[in-house]
Amino acid sequence: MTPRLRELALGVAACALALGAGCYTGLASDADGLANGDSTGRAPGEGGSDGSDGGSDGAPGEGTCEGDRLGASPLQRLTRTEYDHTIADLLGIDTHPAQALPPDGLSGLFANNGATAVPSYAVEVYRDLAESLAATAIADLSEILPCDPAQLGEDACAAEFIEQFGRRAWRRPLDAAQVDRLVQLYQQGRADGTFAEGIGLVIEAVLQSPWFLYRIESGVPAPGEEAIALDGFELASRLSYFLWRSMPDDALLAAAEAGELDDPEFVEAQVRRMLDDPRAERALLTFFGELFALDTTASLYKDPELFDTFSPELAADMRTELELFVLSALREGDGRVDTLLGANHTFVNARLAALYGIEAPAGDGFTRVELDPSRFRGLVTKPVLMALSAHDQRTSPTFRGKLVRTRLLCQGLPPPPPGVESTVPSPGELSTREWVQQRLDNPSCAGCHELMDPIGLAFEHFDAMGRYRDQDDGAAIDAHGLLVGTDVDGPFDGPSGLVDKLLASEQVGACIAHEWFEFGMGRATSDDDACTTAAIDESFASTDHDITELMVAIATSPAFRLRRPDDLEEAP
Amino acid sequence: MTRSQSTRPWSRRALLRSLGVSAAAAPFVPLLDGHAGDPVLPKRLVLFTHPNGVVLDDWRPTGGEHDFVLSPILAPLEAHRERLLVLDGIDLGHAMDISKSNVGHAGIASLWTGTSPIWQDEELENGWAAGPSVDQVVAAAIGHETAFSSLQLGVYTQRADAFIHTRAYHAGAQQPLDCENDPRAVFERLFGDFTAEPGAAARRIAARRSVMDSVRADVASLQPKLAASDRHRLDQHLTGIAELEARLDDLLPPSCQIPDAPADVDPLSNDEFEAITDTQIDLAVRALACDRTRVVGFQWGREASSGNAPWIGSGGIHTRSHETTPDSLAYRTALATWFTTKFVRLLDGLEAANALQDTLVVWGSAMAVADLHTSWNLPVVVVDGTGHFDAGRYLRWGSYTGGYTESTGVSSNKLLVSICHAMGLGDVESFGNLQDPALMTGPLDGLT
Repeated sequence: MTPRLRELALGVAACALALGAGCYTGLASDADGLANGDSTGRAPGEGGSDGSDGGSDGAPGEGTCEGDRLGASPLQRLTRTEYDHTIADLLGIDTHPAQALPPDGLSGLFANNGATAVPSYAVEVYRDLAESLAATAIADLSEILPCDPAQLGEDACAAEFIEQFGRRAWRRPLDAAQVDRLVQLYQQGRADGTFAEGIGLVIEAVLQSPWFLYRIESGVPAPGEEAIALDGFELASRLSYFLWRSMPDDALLAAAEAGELDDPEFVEAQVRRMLDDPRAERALLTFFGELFALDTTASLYKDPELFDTFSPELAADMRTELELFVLSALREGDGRVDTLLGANHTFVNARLAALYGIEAPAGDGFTRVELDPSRFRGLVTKPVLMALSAHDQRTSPTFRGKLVRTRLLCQGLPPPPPGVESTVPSPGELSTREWVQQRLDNPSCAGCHELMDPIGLAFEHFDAMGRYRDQDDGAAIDAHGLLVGTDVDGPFDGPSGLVDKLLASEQVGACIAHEWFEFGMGRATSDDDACTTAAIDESFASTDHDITELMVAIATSPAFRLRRPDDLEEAP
Repeated sequence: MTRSQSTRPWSRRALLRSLGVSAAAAPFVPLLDGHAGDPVLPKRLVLFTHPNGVVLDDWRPTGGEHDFVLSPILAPLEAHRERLLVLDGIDLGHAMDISKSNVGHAGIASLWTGTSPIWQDEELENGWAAGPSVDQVVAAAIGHETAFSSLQLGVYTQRADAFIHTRAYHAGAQQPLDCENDPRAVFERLFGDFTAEPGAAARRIAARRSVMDSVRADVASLQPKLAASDRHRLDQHLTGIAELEARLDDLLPPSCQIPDAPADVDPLSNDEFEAITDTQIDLAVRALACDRTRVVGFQWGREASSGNAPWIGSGGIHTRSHETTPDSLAYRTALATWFTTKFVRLLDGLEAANALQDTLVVWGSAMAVADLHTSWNLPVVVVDGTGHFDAGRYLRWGSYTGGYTESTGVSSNKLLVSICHAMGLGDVESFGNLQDPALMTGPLDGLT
């Protein structure tokens, strides 16, 4: 870690501590937090940046973190998103069936079932899903069979199907006992019904097996080692569930089988191939969807008396707009944080064009448009984020400031403490600046709110449904803001001024790297990861914060292909 | 059929036991006439939870213990007055234990569990209860009699994370139970297996048994490869499989009226909440009347949610709950009154199905007054069909007169002990995990 980065990391940790202790004794007053009222971020190195040396004496870099301890790797059960993508890739069924499953757990900001118990009713849902998916799949056997039973013979074709389907679904070859069990099921189904029903029973069993539902990692046993390597198939799954949020494809499984994934150069080649694949869009959309809790867009509500053009359809369009923007910046564009945060283009359909007050594009679809860069910059002014971080009737500088503070600077903020009177004044009652000033003048509120509200005021040109405005209740908008507790402190004007500051901040880059690391590894970072994360931070900075290269760096980091052996029981 | 289901417990396993055969040995014993079973009175428990408390002054009855006059919010309960206990002055035990008058929305994890939470991250309010809720303790004792040891259902309760505001019911420490929010899924789970023709049903059962054997073998071969904590998680998976397998033999009592399958709705759509509420309550009634389960936890919404109740008025439920303008106070009372009408729908449904008479129904919220996040003077309503309590009364503890910071000294944990006693678990002496044993020990005074 460079001295500058270390200083920053320590600064962030100290700030987080201050927020956690000093700020919390104050009385915040907003009823809700971001979107649903309650998500805050975490500081990178939270609870551990004092150990940022990570026990590693050498300079961080490719390979040098090997041998260090690693964060623990709990057994992952597929998230709902992963289940849906996997079923789409495995069976070609694209109906999002996993909505029937219980909600996922959470690691950091991201959906993750590494620590979530499986409720017993979920096992029943898994069965019901497997039965209905199998019924759908066997409706057209030619789509899923590798052979023609009329030609090859039913039993031989079933055996071939079991071997190939099982290998794809379980993400590794089946052993003889596993094949036997599935063959018996096929025979039972065939004896009681048709060939298709025999195949259907196999599919049911495969989809209910822990080999499908969990990502099994035991590694290659290496007694006495500090870290042990995953086998090729296990690594293939880690890669595919990071980069595609889905199962490995045939090429990746073949690479695993050929032993190529033992070689870091081959791994990097696979990673780059996978990032070029359209399935990589899923990782980007999942990351930003979870980072900003975009699923809450579905229940977004605005007071119809004040916002008569707001509708659920418009809210859905706003989400689509953000997603198209992310893909354009990170896949078609240069992939850099500067573009993500700073670009002034967006995508509109007719409804959104009306929101922006621009000419509607021809047709029903979305069209790329360039917006006035003095008003609109990158992600942060997207209407969906502005509308989610606002009240039903008026804006919330608190929510908007918190969005920046927690998601882009990774500084944790506590929820409002219990016991506060927190009425949201009606729009005419009090101007937004007066409302904010009341909190900042109150010593018991100011501790937390000075970290949020002065940032959020810069977004006052965006009303509670995310629409640009010049005036609020007859008064001209004052969009001056102030950053404190960062490496780019100081006053600024409007979102554009804020974005310029954020682009100059090293904390923003470190924050995004930290979030992607947790997203990619499927677990929170710990002290044990300090060497790895420092190396990744450094490589991210050296690529001018190219998010594609960040994903490559994480996927090819030593930590990614190792697991901590002390999770494992002694061999009997 | 109008025969009283309550006096004919049609658990198939109970029936087979009385015939001296095991379920496994006789998977298709034809249903016998109900008179073959012993007339054992089943007891049933329903917990009903709503978020964000009430406007306490509009909730509290006036008058004395017996001649009380129900408040505007509780007025729809008048028809059930004889079974009614309005409990005024119960404080959240966890809040008493840490001497804090307002643990706020997080109290939902303590209300039915009597525990102080285990925090995953207190700043983010991520965490869970530290023990089972009372419905699960009861389910552990009586749940084996029915196909489902308990049922959790709700309206718009889900959020995909560890946020403590979201779940009222817990299987144990750090084991929150998600409520099923989709009526169609509830229906399929309760009654979906009873719609096929008999031959197909038998083949399906045999197929399911074989598939489960195969899955179990997969788990067994996998276990040695895993770390101990991961093995434990797969053990939970095996428990789920075992419960499914035990259910393969279930049959419905002849008096059971399978309801029509509910229409497919989007369970997260604000516009559907009103209709979903009715459907879920009706399904809970059917589940109890058909003896699919004897323990139900119903949860409407979640603490501090972003949902709305447009049939009551504009604005977010949570936002409104913190507002004290006349308009918002009226909104809050109208919403709480609406909850009462839904609670009464449940009671009326049970009564019509002859199932209320053995059922204990308890309704609570984890906060008294949302704008102050108070945990004292929780609004609690009991409707007792079991005859355990001396009902038809309004009980008031403490000297509460409108200030919000004064504890009555009566802990909610004692209510949980009382519930256990009413459900036949007379040996339960204390409930919860508080530091102060006195807060957890013994039932509420003067209920029986």
